[in-house]
Amino acid sequence: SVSVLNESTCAVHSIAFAPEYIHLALAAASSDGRVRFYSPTDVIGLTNWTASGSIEFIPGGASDSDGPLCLSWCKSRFSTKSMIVIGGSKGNKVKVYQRDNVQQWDEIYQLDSYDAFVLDIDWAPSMGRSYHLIATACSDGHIRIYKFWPEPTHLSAELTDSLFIREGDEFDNEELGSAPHVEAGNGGYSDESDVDDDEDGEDASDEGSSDSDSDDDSDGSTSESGDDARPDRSGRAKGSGKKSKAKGDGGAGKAWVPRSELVGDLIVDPQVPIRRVRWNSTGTLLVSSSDDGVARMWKMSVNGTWREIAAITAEKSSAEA
Amino acid sequence: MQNRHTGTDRFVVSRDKEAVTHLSPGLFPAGRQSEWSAQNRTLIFSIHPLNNKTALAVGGKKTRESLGNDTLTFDQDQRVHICGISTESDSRLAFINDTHAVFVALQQLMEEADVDDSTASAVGIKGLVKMSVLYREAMQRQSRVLADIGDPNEFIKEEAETFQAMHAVWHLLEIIYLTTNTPGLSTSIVPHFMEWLNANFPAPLAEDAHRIAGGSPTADDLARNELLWPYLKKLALRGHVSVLGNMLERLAPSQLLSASAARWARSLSQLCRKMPLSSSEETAGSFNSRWRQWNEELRGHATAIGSLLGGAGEKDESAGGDKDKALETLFAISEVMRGDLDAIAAEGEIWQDIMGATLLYSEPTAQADRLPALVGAIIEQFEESAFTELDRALVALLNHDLAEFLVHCDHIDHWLSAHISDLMDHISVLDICRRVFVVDPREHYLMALGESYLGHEDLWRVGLDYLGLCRTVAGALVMEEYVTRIPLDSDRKAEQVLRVCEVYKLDCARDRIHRQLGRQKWQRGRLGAAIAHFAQVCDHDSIGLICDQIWNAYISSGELTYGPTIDGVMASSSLSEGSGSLLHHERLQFLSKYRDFHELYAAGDFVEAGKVLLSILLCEIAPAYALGDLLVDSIPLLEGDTLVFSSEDTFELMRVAESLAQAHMKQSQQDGAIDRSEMNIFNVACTRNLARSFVMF
Repeated sequence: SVSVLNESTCAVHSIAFAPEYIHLALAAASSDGRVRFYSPTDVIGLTNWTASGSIEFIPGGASDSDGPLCLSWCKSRFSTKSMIVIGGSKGNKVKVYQRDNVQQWDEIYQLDSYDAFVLDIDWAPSMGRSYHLIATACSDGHIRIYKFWPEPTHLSAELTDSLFIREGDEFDNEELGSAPHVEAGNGGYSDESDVDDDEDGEDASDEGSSDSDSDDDSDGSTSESGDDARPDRSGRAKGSGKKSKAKGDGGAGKAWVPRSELVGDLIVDPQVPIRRVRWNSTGTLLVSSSDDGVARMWKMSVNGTWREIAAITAEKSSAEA
Repeated sequence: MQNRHTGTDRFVVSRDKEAVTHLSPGLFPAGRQSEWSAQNRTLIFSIHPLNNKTALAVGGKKTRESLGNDTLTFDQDQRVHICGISTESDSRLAFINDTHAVFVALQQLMEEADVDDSTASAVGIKGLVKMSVLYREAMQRQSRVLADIGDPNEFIKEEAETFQAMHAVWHLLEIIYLTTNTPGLSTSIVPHFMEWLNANFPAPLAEDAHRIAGGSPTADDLARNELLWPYLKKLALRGHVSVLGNMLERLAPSQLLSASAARWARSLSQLCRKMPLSSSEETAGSFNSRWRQWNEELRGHATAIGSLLGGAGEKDESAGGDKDKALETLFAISEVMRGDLDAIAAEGEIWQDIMGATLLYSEPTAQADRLPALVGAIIEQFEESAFTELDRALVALLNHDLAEFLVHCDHIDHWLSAHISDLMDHISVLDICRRVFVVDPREHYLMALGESYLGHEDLWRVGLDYLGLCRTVAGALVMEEYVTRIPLDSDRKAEQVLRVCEVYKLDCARDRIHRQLGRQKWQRGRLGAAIAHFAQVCDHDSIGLICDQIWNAYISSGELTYGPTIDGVMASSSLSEGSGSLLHHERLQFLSKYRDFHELYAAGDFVEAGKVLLSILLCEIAPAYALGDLLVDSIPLLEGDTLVFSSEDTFELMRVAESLAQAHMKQSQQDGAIDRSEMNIFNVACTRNLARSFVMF
């Protein structure tokens, strides 16, 4: 072995190297509630690795019995700052962290939180999409796929992000917990006149937590994109066209807040935990494997829904002896 | 409040056990999944970077340390299976390549058409029609190839069906959006629709026709043939009016027909010949009045025959069923041909039949915009759950519901959805769908198709083209990602990949591939080729290192064998433009000149050799470690009989030696250090040469 890194006090369930265009670094998620980052002092020999920062994912620490921790780096070249998504352990939350400088990581967004262990998580390569895709695998047999926008995107009026027309405003000011820079009373939709034709209501992951209570602290942050055109969320082409977001939301002067949307909730069998989810190299195919010995492949169809396209089981077929 | 979706798409897997593919041999016995899982086992996998194959193996859930020492392991735990979604079968290879060529040509055509606005639309439509026909011809060729396969298995049969379906869909799209828009042709969709119908869903079938009318039967033979009546009705339904007329004419003289039947047969036959056909020269008004007249005559016939049937029912029964049959058939035919919708509905077997006959006989000048109304009424009579994907796609197309149409095309075949969405984009009808779908359908389908070809050893180039010709940001990025993963098995393949990079201007990928190839060839000892690759990316350092290696090889072996290598490099660099800097790379020039020096020396041309040697030193292109050797090389020239170096030259040599010695002293560097004794010899030789040169000059 070249080097042994043993700062962790509990089992290390998930490790990943940083993407190649960031300097060489390794992130290790341990069941003690911490994610530690290591870099080699000698890039050629790689014999000496030092810890260079860590994230205290569970304040106060955790132990093996609280469940595993999993992580995934954002592989996009075009993000201004490196990002990593971590999930699991106490509370079974999934959060996105961003690196401000070499040693300092800040939580910028909580994607979701569940009633079941988060067993695996993967951040898809972005490949020119205006959003990021993150998939989580849970012990409740669900695979959840999120779109995530950490930064404002410049979307033209024609481009839609989602087929789904959203229900009004389920955004709750008090639940803003970890999302910074949001002013009180800002729903963007607090203006009553928006409600009747409210196709711009953007809720993040509230609906996603299938088993969670309605008052848990999953954050739904609205998007404020300064002067950017609000993406048109109409499904079948609405004659009224894009709803101007300027109506009553006092856009100017608000800082951008990251937002996300649950776009796929794939249920295999609530009794069978999903152990692993991985995206292929272009983020067009998602493969999952679960305790029933079946590996499934999922693809997004042209109308934005995720469907299973193939399944391979390790079970012997009944024809086999 | 309208009923709206909640934001999530929830999908519950519901499939039969049989639809799942089983690993063979499997990893645990059938039905024992929960047991297997309870024994700390689960399935883990890893995805191939290029072709989406997956490697599967057994993994554990708890750490080894927390399990007891007595856990069992099985053979199956040690196996790794590699599986993948099947790529295209070889039977399609020719088809894929042909249509790929058409696709590329189409993209080029549309690009050129864009440039010249004035004739854009005219060139555009004609060009599109031409391309569309080329696609269809490819499909027909493939259908014929599949049909020729004797003893087809399930797969071949399915393929044949698929290609027929694709052709039908494509043809209908061509008719509705291209043919009727072609300037110069009539805009009525009816003749084209009938052509489409009879080409893709032929009826009556050729073998039926042969069975009935082949072998020149007599009129009586015809009348006796049970199959004649449905055949005649089919002819009428499908608009084969002239054939119908002929058949009736041949049937009429039969003795088995009643007098009235014979008479009406002849009369109908006459009417068939008089059926008005539209032409582009005729005005709509004139055609309509001819049509009305013809229709009236038919109506008269129908009423007359109908009354005959109604009245003479019992009388004819005693004479035998045949005459009844004849009259009934004639009645049905005349009802159909006068456009009676009930009669048409009664005779039609498939909905396309009814659609065609309705158009032909009741709305002969209908335009494409009439189609949705007509098809809606007709479909109601059919059981929609029995519809195939083809039916659904056709109905959607006739309804002008293009989004629905595309989704069904995708269910028929991925090739179809990719190419047809591309065609629709060029016809400018895809924009409606763009507003409906989350992603751009053309990009989505083309990328899916391209990705599926990448893993195939013969189709990767085609796949890359599909990705590149998406002409979107995502397509370009995906392409760049994949192009660097294509395995570079051979020089030729590497060249092809590089050409792809050049065509699509993927500079980043191109650089990476050149570096990779350079390193590969360097390791294999193909130094010239390696230098050429590094030159493409202007990697001077690597070239320098290779040159050092060449020099060291020469020094240790004592034989200068790198000549051809250098020549090859210099020759190829003069051909390619990107490596202009190559010619100026110091080390290469040094090696080249040094080789010249060697050759001249070996040839005995000492004066010239001396000049070359001097120029090497003067230009300062020699690396530090070689200076000593160069000075040693100059000794024989200094000592030789002929005067090679003039006094200035000698001073130069001495200057170099001096600076070398100083550098040696200052930094105690070992490079280029010369032996003491050699140094002495050199100094003596220089002095002597100086002396000589002063005397001579």
